[in-house]
Amino acid sequence: MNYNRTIFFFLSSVIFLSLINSCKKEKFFTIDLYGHAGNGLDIVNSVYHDNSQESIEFALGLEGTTGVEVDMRMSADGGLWLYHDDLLETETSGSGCVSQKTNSELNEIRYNTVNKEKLVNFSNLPFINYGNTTFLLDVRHYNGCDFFPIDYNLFVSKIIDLRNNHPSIKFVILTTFDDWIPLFIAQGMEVYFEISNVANLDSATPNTLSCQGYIIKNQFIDKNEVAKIQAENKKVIIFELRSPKKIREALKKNPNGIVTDDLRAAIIEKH
Amino acid sequence: MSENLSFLFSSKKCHLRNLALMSYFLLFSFLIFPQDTLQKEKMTHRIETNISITRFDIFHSFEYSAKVNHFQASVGLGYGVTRTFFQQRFFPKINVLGVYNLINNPKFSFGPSVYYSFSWLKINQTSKHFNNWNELFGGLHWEYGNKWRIGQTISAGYFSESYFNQFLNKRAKASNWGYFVNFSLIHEL
Repeated sequence: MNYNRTIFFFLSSVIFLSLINSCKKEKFFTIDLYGHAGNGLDIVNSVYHDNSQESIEFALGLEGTTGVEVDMRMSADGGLWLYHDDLLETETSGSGCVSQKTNSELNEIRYNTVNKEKLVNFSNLPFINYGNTTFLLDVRHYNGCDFFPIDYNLFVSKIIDLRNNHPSIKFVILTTFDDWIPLFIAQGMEVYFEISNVANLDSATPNTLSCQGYIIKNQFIDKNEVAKIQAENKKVIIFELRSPKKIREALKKNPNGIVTDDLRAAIIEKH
Repeated sequence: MSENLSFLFSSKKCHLRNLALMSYFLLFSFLIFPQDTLQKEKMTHRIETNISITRFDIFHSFEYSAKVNHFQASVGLGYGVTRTFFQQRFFPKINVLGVYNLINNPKFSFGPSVYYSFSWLKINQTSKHFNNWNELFGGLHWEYGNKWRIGQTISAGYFSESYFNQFLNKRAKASNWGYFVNFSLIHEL
């Protein structure tokens, strides 16, 4: 057996790999990092199901995370629940919509995963364990199963109650529904309006213009547009970031924050 | 049974731990004391280069393996390609693989395999803590060829990620199912 050849083979590999870390990288220390729906939505290296307590706590626990984005819906009896899709049957043991179910019905539902995570009643999360973190609340103003509207005022008041009960946590509203922006702003909450195109801002309503910032997909905004919005004293959060390449691309645009599906990759890129 | 020892036998984790320990001792006793256990068999030594796909990265590894009769075992050192090359953050991994070849022809072998790996990554450079992953998978392995051989392993099992939780201020664990698909190029020495 040729031991010299084997030793040479291993040593040259180790030397080669040790040179890799000497590459110089850009740093993005001022940009906030948020996990999408906890620790990522439909991504293979996410350990837990999106919007589950386990996923949220895993994401918040990673050193370098600013907070998490979660998808919030209101149940038939006014509970604040986290669930991404319109229909429960797509991801869980339940069926129908969150808005049609009572809190006790939703309590019994589990995600269809190995870990069988529970649906999260947001008000029941142990916020005391989460320090001074930030939750971006993607509040769903519509009922995904029928045209019966949800009670906007009740939804807003439940979120305000939550904010008042947990002063150490920063709750930020993300919405596509500009009618209720004034309701949240009147209560002193920070609101980001989701836009699909920067050009839409030219025809923005007064409600839209009154929010503190905008959230937009990475593909629809460039670095100059980010700078232009920031020059108007508004903040920008970029989302739809799965690969390290896209995360780096978004960080180079210098937004105020990014919502990413791969938090580990984003933390590596930031630092 | 005393309460102190009952945790060893009562939970799902104990099966995983026992399986890990059994694999460890089987593999290492085979690698370190092959002459004691399999005196008459001819041992072949090989070096391998592997590409493996896991939930966390695509890994490239260099391995040494030994084969005696139906048994073969390998130890390797690898790195995550995406993290290491595209993110310039070295993501090393050490792994062991044990195979019992049910079909053991000179040109073709096939059998069940047990795979264990440990990998670690410093995600946040401003922190002193590393994330690390333990993976234990069972699956199937085949090889084809003579002096130069190609091989593949397909496995599934559990992984456990250990990380420093910034709110709990201590290490925490997260675990779920994982998979491992491996392609090998093997050279007999």
